[in-house]
Parts: sequence; structure tokens; C-alpha cells
Amino acid sequence: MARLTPNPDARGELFSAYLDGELSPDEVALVVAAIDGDEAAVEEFRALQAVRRTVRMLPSLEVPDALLPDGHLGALLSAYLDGELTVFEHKRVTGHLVACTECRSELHELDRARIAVRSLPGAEPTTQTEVAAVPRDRRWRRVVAGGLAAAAAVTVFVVLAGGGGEQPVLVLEDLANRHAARASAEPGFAVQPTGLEVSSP
Amino acid sequence: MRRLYNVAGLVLLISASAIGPAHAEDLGDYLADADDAIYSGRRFVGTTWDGIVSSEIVEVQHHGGMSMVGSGPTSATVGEGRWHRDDTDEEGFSYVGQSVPAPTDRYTLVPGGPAEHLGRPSHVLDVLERGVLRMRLVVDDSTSAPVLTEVYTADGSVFRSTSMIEFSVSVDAGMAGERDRAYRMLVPLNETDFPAVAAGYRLIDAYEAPEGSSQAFYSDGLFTFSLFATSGNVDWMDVAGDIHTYAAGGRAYFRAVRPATVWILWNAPGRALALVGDLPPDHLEAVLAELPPPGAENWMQRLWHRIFG
Repeated sequence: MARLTPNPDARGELFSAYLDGELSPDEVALVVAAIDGDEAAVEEFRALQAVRRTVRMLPSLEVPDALLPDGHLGALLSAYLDGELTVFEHKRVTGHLVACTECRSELHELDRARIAVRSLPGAEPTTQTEVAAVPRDRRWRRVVAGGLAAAAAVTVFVVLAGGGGEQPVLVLEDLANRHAARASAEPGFAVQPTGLEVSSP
Repeated sequence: MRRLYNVAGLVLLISASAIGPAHAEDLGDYLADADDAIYSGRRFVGTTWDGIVSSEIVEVQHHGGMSMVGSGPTSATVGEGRWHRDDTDEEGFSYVGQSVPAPTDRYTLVPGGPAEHLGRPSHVLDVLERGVLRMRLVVDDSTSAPVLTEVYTADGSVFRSTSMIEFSVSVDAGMAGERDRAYRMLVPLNETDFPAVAAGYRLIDAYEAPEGSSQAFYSDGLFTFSLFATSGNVDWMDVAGDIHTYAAGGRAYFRAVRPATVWILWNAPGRALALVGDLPPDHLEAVLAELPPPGAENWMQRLWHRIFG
């Protein structure tokens, strides 16, 4: 693997771009090569990480609403759903969505519209394996009775038996994946360091 | 590799337990640095609970805040609030977090001494809960990658162990280039009826989930779980294979033990609940005590829910 040019400025820029998620695969390979076994490069990488930590602790600088069309995300939402945003735009959009109910609602509507379009005839069916969340083959129970009172009883029984209507579908793997995705949104929370003695297990 | 939920759970564990170089000042810094790490290898992860053992060895690549776990047609990629399978063009999930978690005083961080893992210089970091060791991590000095993690039960036995058994400072170009994907965006709900706090775990945010269900995400600063709820009751034996009965606080649940996560499944009046997370057993029992208990609906409740939802 090619070694990185030992130009501190160029290396720093490359590290910075890596931390910002802006590198191509070939450039990532350069970063990997630079870090592997090169203590000076490791130190430089760490120093840059420390700077980023410090920056993270600074008060957030909100993008002025004046820079957004009508103070909202507008067309950026479609690009967001289509995965077409740059890293910077992605952060800006997610930051705005946290605070803006109107844009979140619009994002919901756009997402629903996309799903509706995909469900039109001709759209590819999902390949995900689904498992019915309620007992399959639940059958209508037949009740033979005469008279108005019996008919009412039949109605209640059918309702209680869950007949009619679409049954909910749950896929446990899907739920676990959703949890993993949400959990990965936060790198972690602060825990205060102390000098307590460790109680070994 | 294994089933995809195991992949996801593993990555969850990684994200919950990763730490960084020695001069970071708190766990948040360690976690942030670990997100920036570049590494790959093979990882053992296993959970032991009441004699139920679940373990696996998976391939993992980590780069740019994303982890690809597994290989070939069964790999999945998780990070930065996103998840997708690598073998299909299906949409993944992308979560928009709502709340900014506050620092917690439940845990304290104690830097340990130098260590060595797979011949690489590393250092130890202990996470204590009220003075008792709850998690021990060994972190690679060079990359900030977590190379060994152990989670302990309240009585000090190992509940979960995760260890890199092969380690390399490299990633595949394909992994490194994994950026452009279509994701289903999940935006936090503005209102929810989930409890705000359960045994020290705070409700961070809630989302719509499939088929009219909802998801609440909780964290105590170190461990996390999601609580999924759907209206009506579910025959869990029919939905999930390989589950066991589980009693906590005198109540009966189902549980499934996976290498990096546990699932607790039950029916409460009016809804079915599924808890998925990486929390240890004593935490889990305390959480369950503060959630809706198992119980069947009476006929009036069933009638009501069938008619009015």
C-alpha cells in the first residue's frame, strides 16, 4: 500500500477530511496506511480528535434561518430522503429537524408519499420475511342462534375473536435492527471520571 | 455470520461500550474517539444468563462512524443512527434523534493501567456503578478501538464478553465507500405515553414503528433499550423461535438471549410489548418492574380495543 506523503499539512488535511467523512475509499486507504505503525501520525490523528472534542463542547452555532428558504428546509428534505446530501448538509438538516415541528411533519408527508408511490403496481415487492404477529388461521367461529339477542351475542363474540380487519405484522429482527440504529445515533453520554477503588468481580 | 438481529445487537454493544485513547476525559470522549477509529477483524461476542448461553464470532469493519458486521450476503452496516443490510438495495433506517442526553452520575469512569491485546499496546478502563465494577474495557492505544469488553452482573459474574480475536488497522475499500444509500427516515414523535423514566433509564425519544406500533428509546448513559408496543396481544411463541419463559418480580415473561442483546416479550392489557436492549439482568428486572405488567385483557377491554382500536 502506498505510504502517505510525509507533508504534515497534507496529512493534517487528509485526517481532517477523514474525520468529516469526506474521503473516497482510496483516500481512506491512505489514512489507514499513515496511521498504521507511524507513531507521529497516530499522535497527529489524536491531536486532531482532541480538537474536535473541544469543538463539540462549544455552544452550537445554529444556521440562521435566513439562510434557509422561508426559514425551513424545503427541497433539502427530498434530497435528505434520497440520501443525496453532503455530510455538512446532512448535519444541518438533522439539526434543523430536531427543533422544527413543521419540517418534521413535512418530512413525514414526503416519506409517506414515497412509500405510496413505491406501492403502486409495478413496484418491486419487499423481500423481507414477515411473520404474523397473531396466531395464524384464526377462524371465525360460527355461532348458530336465533333471535335478536343471539345475533347480538354473535356480533360481540366475533369482535372479541379478532375476526376481520388486517392483522398486525411484527418482525423481531426488524425491531432489533431499529434499536441498533437508534442507539448508534449517540456516541455515548458523559460519565464523570473519579479515582475510586475498583471492586473486582 | 448469524441472524441479522445479532448483527444489529452486536453493533449496538460496540457503540455502547467503545472507548478511546487514554487522554480523553470522560466516557463520551472515549465513545466519540472510537467512532473515528479505523479497524477491522474478527470479534467474539457472547452472553450468559441463568445458564442460557448465546455466542458468535463475527467479522467487523469500522470506519467513519459506521460498523459493518458480518460478511458476504449476511452483513449489515450500522452507525450514525443508520442501519442497512448490505446484500440488498432495500431502504435502511435513519433515525433523527430528538433529545440531547444529559450527563449521568450513575457511573464513574476509572482509567486503569496499560495492557496488551493481540500483541498491541492497549489500556484498561473501568466503569463503576456505585463503586462496583459494571464494565471493563480494553482499548487499543493506536486506534481507540475497543478490543475487549466485559459487562458484569450485580453479583460480579460476567454477563457479556466481547473480544477482538483478530485485529487489523484497515478496512475494505467497499466498506469505506459505503455512503450513498436510500434510508427510511424516522422522525421523533411529538407526544408519547411511554414512561419518562424507568429504573434510572430515561426516555430519550419515541418513534413510529411498523404496523402501527411505536418505539421508545431509553438510556441510562451506558446501556440502552428500546421498548416496542403494538395494540392487541401477540402470541409470542408463534412469532419468535428459541424463547424461554422468564419470571421477574413475580411476573411471567418470555425472553430470548442473543450474543449481544436480550429480548423480553410480554402481553399487557391492550398491547403487546417487546423490550430489546443490552442492559444487564439486574437493571432489566428493575426496569420491568416500572413498565406495564403482563396480563390478559378482560372481555370488556378486548371488546373496546377491537371496536375503537
